Amino acid sequence: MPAIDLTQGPQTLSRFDVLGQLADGEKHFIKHVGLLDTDTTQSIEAGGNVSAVHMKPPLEQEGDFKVDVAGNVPLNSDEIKIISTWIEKIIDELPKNKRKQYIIRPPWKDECDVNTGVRRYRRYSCVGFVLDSHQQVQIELLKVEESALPDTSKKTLMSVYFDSDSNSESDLRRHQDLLLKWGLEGNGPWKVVLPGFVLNALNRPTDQIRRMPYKAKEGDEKF
Amino acid sequence: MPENRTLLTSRPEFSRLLLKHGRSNYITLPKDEKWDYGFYIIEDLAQDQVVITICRGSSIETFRGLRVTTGKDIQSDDDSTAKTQEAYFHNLAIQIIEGNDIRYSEYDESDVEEYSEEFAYFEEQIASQDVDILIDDPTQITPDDICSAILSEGSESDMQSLREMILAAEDYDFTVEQSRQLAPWLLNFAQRLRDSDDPKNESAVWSAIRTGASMLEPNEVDSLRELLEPGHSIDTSRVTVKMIGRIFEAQPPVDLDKHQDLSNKVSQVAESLLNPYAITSSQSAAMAQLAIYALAAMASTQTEQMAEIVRQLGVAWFSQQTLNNLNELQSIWSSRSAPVNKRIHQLLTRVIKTLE
Repeated sequence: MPAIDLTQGPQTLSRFDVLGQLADGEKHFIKHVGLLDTDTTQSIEAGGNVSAVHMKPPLEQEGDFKVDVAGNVPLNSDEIKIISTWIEKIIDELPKNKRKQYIIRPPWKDECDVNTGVRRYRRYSCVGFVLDSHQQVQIELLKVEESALPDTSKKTLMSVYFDSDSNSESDLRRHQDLLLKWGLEGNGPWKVVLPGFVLNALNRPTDQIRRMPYKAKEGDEKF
Repeated sequence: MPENRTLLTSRPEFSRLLLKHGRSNYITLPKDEKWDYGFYIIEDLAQDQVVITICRGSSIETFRGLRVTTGKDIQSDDDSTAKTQEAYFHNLAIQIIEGNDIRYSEYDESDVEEYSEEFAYFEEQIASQDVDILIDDPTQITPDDICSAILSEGSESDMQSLREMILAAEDYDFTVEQSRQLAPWLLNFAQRLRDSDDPKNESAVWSAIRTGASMLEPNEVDSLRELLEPGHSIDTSRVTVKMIGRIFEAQPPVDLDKHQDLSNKVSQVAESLLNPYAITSSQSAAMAQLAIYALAAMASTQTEQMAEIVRQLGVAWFSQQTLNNLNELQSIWSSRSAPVNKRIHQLLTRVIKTLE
């Protein structure tokens, strides 16, 4: 199945298919992605709540996810087992009371001990988590090197992450601090991987998705 | 000017230490509001004073404090009055954490009743900076602060604060000297707390193992052996096996079989799980793969035997994932400026060939 807008009709989805959530008020703008986390295939319609594993943050298993769009490769049963096993390996690292587990740029990053270089845990953005899950089965959905990414303005990024009506001075300061913590210095534009890029990457023939990563272009934040 | 000046901090872990007898609550926001969480602490400082410390945001410690001077009601024997106050503070905290700008004038007088004046007083306090310390910049927390708080005598008397400090420690860079103190403390903490029945300790125990183990050099890895034991309320073996692999992945051993005792223990783990029944569970499959990875990373010749068992199992996806992991290890070692020992490289190559 290519990526589809579920408002066009319900769709049968399977475990670890990619789920997308539209931003309020902005048509076609994808603000969040995750993976369907159910054992059985399900017919799912737009606006429905489904069980998902996703970097909310925190990383949530069997969390509620209001789905508007979806896409898949699709995955076979062995690939589903591999992703499932991979999640078991990392799930201890991202408990709900861990404060610093989210990052935007890069979409994932290992935090290591500074003296030994030993990895402690990996931080993710929502889209980073989806991309890494597919890398476990050798599916590189997107080119994530900054040289291959379009510019994203601060305005666009803010619309993904913050409510448009939170414009008080303290909110803006808080947002600036958050962006810095998430790897975004200055006022942009930045080369970042946005949730909509994944849906556009999945909106290709299956053999192409498996063969080559998608190169995101300007406007792909929408689907 | 209030008599008791209060230290308010944006650092939840320190707030907890300072406000030892406070009551605290985590608040998870409705999913569609924000991807945030926050918490607040209510502290009865004295008979007529209450402080609410609020922290909001998914990772930033942006903070707003309320200082409320209350009358006799806070100490009232009347349970319903106390409960009403609790509910009132709770709702207020949620609104602030959700990002609403709280001003006393926004409240319906009938809701606030006698408290409206106190909130007005709070606004004045903030405007005149009548708070001893207001730390909005999380960079002001230093590794020294974390170290002292964790290692201080009596740190375990406030377990909630300690758990948060341990989770926070994972994000900090410590000096070699600090690591020498922290690592044994953290690993010992994990060992002591793994029999705890309190589910809140689980993530702190696992975090303590990750941070403590990440500070170890290969010649100290044997100190993890005890944590591989199964059968405790909080399972420490999976995180420990994972960290053994990561320790040697970053600091390859100097030669084959340099950690025989540990490798025997890890082999036991792998062998017990390498059967078609166990690996149908993703938890067991994950554990088995982590054990094989640890054996390979510590350059144990027992890895060859494990690879052979995996091959004979004939479970394609499991073999493939194990192979992928080992290829990743090889790639990490190949990218090192200092090459790994030739014998170790040859062992890993043989193991990979077994699985291909």
